[in-house]
Amino acid sequence: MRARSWQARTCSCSAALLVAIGGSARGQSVAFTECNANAVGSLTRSELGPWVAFTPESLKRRFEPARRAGAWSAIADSVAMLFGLEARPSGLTGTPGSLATLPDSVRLLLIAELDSLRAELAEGERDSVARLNGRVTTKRFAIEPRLVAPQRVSLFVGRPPGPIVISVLPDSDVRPLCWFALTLEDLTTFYGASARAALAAALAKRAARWDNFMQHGYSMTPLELFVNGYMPRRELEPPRHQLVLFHASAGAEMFSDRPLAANTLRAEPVLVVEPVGLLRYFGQFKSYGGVTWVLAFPDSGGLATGVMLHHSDIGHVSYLWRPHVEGGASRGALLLSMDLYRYLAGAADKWKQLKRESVSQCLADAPACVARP
Amino acid sequence: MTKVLVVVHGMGEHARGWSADVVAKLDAVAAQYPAFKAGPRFSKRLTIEEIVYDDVFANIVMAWNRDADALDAWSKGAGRSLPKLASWLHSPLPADTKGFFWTTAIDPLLYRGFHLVRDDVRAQVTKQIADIALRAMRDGAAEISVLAHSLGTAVMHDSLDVLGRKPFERNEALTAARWQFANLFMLADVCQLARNLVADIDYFDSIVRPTSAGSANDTYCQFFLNAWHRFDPFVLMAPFRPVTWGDNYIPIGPLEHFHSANVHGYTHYLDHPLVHVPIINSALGAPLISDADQAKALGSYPVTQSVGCDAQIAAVIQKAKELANAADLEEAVIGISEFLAVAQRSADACKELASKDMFV
Repeated sequence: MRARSWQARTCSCSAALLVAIGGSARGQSVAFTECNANAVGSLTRSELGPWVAFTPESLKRRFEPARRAGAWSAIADSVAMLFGLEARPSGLTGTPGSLATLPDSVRLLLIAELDSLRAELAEGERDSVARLNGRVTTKRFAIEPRLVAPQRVSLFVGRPPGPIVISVLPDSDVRPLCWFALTLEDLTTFYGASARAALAAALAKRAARWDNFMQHGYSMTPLELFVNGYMPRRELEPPRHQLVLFHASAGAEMFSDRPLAANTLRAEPVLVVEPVGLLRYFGQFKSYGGVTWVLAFPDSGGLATGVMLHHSDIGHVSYLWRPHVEGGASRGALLLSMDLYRYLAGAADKWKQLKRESVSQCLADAPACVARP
Repeated sequence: MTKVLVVVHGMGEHARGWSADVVAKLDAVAAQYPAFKAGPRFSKRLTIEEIVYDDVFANIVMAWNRDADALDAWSKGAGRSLPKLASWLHSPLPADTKGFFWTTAIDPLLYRGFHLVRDDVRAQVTKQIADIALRAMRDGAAEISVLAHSLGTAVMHDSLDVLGRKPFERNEALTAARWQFANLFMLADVCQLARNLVADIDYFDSIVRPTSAGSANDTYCQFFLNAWHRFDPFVLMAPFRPVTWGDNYIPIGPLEHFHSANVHGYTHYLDHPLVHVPIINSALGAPLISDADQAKALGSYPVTQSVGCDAQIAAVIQKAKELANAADLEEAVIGISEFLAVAQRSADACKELASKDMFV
């Protein structure tokens, strides 16, 4: 940064700037007005006089075509010339008051910060990614109005060898300095618009991932909510893997005493406990799949244990082993969530319907049916 | 230049539009000063934006169906016992005390006790701030200030730290090195609550500090205002008092007014001229309320307007002192519920201590 290299050569000036702190109440009042864009915006044309073309708002409009053309550093050059910080070409009318009359220490500080700004803008002009990544110091020219005692208005606070305390400068210097800073702050703000839009979009996606995980993921008991906070994950992202721990749920599920006999499935109240399991979330956390160890307690019959497969889109299914049933022999069983059952039943009905339609078409026109490839 | 005041809620139920009471309070207190006798009211002189994160807590609590057994089971299973909390919830408590637990006091427990909840909240809040910044700076530079209360102060400390500390997906647009808030106004700052559960941030040294506390590259606001009340149990429990942040750190306290039974209330803080004058002036970026106007308002501002409420005030102070000694988050959560219930009963018994917005 050029400002930094400049700082080494002139590091004594900050002391000179700070000595002047504690100016008059009138100086403060002028600075609070001239450095407040809204107060400036309320000035009438007659109050503005020859300054009318140089208000921050006027300059914002004036440079709009150049902003659209992406001539960012050229705008910074023009602003510097208009306010007399740099030599103006003949024919260019500048502000009625000039920054050229500022003390050297203040002027050099402005030039250094302006140079740093121009370097950032030029980088974005060469490389659009730099601009899209927000590599511009929007706050560089932000004015700091201190509204509590001791009141003052400053620029470049926290930017050595600043700050410039505007409220202790002569009244004639306040307007050009404030309006120059306000204009450049607008410039950097416009320059950073695409980066802010990109950031907002990226953060919205992250928030959506959390919504998907917390509201549409596999529900978590307090224990699971606590434990899964320690699962490995990227900073501020939901975990890709969710541990299922002593997860109890109760409700109607489709249950069959036989593992491969779907036609014996019946809705039955079942208490399901998943002592342990692991789920993985995909993509933007809209879906997940995984496997858990399950203990099921159907109303009819005793405890069954097995493995449950989960998929967020269709539900879960588990093969259960029942160690103790009537007659003493162990027997397999099947457990389906209602949504998976509906999915499967719907698929079967659809297949039956297609078959029925196909058969009736053939019966209606047998030769055509036979001739069909 | 667009000026924006972002209002952030604390514990309790807060749906979209929750900020109406806070905005009405700011308008009301501003209206007493000459600068607001004519012209638009305070809230019409800038843009008000609100942050909402309570839905994160509400969804979880709904999922648990407000079942004390769930917490009990958790404590047993996790080996992180909450026996005091579980037994407290199972004890025959007044309905208002239990109600305050499920609607209000559980929020800090969820936020501080569960990493996933804290990160979800931070993700939602950073997204909202980025949206606000995008809107505010559409037509050029903007001054954005934040007004946060209670748990909202901790949420903002945490959220602003992750937003401004380093680039997100290489994007530097809102990092502290590139951009800053004008003012952070913290009312009843509780960022130190259950500090031992938060390992990733040092609140005294994070970027969420005023410029005078560091350099322009590692600070995130021009000014940081921190207001607290002498009998606010939440700030007594976990005081946050930076001493090396320079003169852009503006401490306001201890306040001693007693205009509501809930001295922790958002609007109760805003009611005091020592609090609302710097907020109004700084948010608008202009000294609209003069020192003389503020002095006049302070001169006519009584410590309490509640004549004959001494017993109720004493009860609130007593409960606040008890809560201030909470040993851990568990005791704090119990204490919060009990304190708010005592405040409610005091307000019921002494109408001068009641207001419709006392639990905002």
